[in-house]
Amino acid sequence: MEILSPSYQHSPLIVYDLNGTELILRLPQHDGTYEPTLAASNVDIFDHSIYREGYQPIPYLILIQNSWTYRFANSPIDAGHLILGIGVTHYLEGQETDFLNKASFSQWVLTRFQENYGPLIEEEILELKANDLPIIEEKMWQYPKAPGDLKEFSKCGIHWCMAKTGHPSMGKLDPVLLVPINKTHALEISTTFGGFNPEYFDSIDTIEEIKETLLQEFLEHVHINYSPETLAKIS
Amino acid sequence: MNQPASLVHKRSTVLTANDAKKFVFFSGMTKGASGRPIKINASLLPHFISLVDPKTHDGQAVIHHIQGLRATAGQASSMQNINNAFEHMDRVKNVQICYKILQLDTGSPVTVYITDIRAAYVGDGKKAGLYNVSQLGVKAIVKETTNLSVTSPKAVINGSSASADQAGETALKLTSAGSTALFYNPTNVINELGSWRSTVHSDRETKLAANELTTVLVKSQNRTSVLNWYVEGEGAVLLARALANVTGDLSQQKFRFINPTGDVATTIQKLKNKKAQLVTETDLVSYTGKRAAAIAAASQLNRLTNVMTVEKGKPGFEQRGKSIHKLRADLARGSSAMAGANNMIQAGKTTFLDILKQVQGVF
Repeated sequence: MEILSPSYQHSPLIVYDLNGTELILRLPQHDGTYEPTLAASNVDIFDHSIYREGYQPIPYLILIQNSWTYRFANSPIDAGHLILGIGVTHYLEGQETDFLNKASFSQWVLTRFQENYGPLIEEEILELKANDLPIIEEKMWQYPKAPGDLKEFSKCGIHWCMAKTGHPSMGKLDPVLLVPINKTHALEISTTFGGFNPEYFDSIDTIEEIKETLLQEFLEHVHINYSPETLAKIS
Repeated sequence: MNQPASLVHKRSTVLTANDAKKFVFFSGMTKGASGRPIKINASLLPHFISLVDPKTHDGQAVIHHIQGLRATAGQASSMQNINNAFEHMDRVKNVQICYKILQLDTGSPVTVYITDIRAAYVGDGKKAGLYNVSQLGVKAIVKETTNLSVTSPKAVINGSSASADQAGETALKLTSAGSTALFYNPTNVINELGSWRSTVHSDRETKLAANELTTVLVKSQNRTSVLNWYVEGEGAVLLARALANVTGDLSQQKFRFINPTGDVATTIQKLKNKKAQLVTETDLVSYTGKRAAAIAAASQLNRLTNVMTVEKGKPGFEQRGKSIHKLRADLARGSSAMAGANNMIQAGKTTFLDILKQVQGVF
């Protein structure tokens, strides 16, 4: 069945000046049960006092939280929606590294996933033990643990990392993308696909194929412009 | 105040002559002078106002589409109920419009009867039950929990939501927490709860969800610390249903309602009977401008404020008094406008669209 996306062409063009690196994207109209977030376009990413911690004590500066709907063509029902989260994060004290170097960045990305998901795994083990349930790694939080778990690609003249994360109990994993802004700061782009009720599709594989197409369609409308000085340092 | 007893409709697959009396002409243009007449169930007014804002482009598109049903009703773009050839469903913007094309008796014209209007979610196939939500970086991450009771300090029962992921995002914002428990109330369940009726789903899923919530409420009573419940939107209707089967009291659990729909006054009374705690530090019932809830409350304002009142001298008297005062001030205008609208519509003095124009400035 054909899926209808929002019109990116007619969606507002959002531009962030992240201390010399420009993030430009088309952002479809928000359609969700929560208030969307859109940070000021000239936010100072070097001011670390404006970053906030979530469940883990890791600082993030959230730029965008938004959601939009996909529909089935010629049908009165929705197909699903994409929940988008975009934020800036930086390496923590004692982790000196160079994000503009591809190998260093990939290594840091793995570290960051471990910092985020490691404690969750520990909690999950405690929960399973408390409920007398077996500890099976494949049924617990999933995140990239080795370089082979990251999908690396090049876009806008720089190296990107993509990984699927989430909990198997939800019947799906969702893509998270990381890309350097400069030597010390990176953008995290989270794309969670909600809905896509298996009842309305031929198979789980079909749903995965559709989501992949929809993700690529979104990414086609995301651009990052680096200053000549930054571009010269990318290795 | 003369108001409908409940916003909950009974499900029906046929339209009897008696049912038809509840229908009024949609607008001056749809009385049958050109094309088929179009009528709408007058009790859908609160639903309609909550879903369709005539001041927006999308709202106008919905109204335009309904007026167009004079000529286009039942055409290829609409979905037909496989069990009933007279039932149709059209999608316009963010809503589904359900209607029947019927000739009630010989001599009367073939008429389009709009029987329902509802949000177009199809859900994600996830079952009702306890989930964990945490803010991880830029996203809310959600997992099913293997616990039978809530172990975290806060828990949310969500209202209408397109997926567990979206309910999770909303739950974190509601509780301002880094992590919370979520009792996921899937949309197909909400469809059956009467807020958005479904002619397709059975009542079975709602029962399962309510039973599941009953178990969670009872088991969560064995806590040493108080559990803070945030009940959002249509989640209030599910809670009411779950409470009916709760044995014992809920003294370790504290409740607050955000944009509740359904009969909140009765639900609060049931909670009182179960010795549940009702929040006094902040508003027990609050609204964030979601019109569905404001309207539901407007039609039961007096009963709601009565049941919310704390006796003089008891803890929370002053704070709750302020909270009630605020609620009354916020809802007074809406409450009288809805009462007037309902009276006019029931007397058959006006069309649905005229009423909508009249109250649109209020909500």
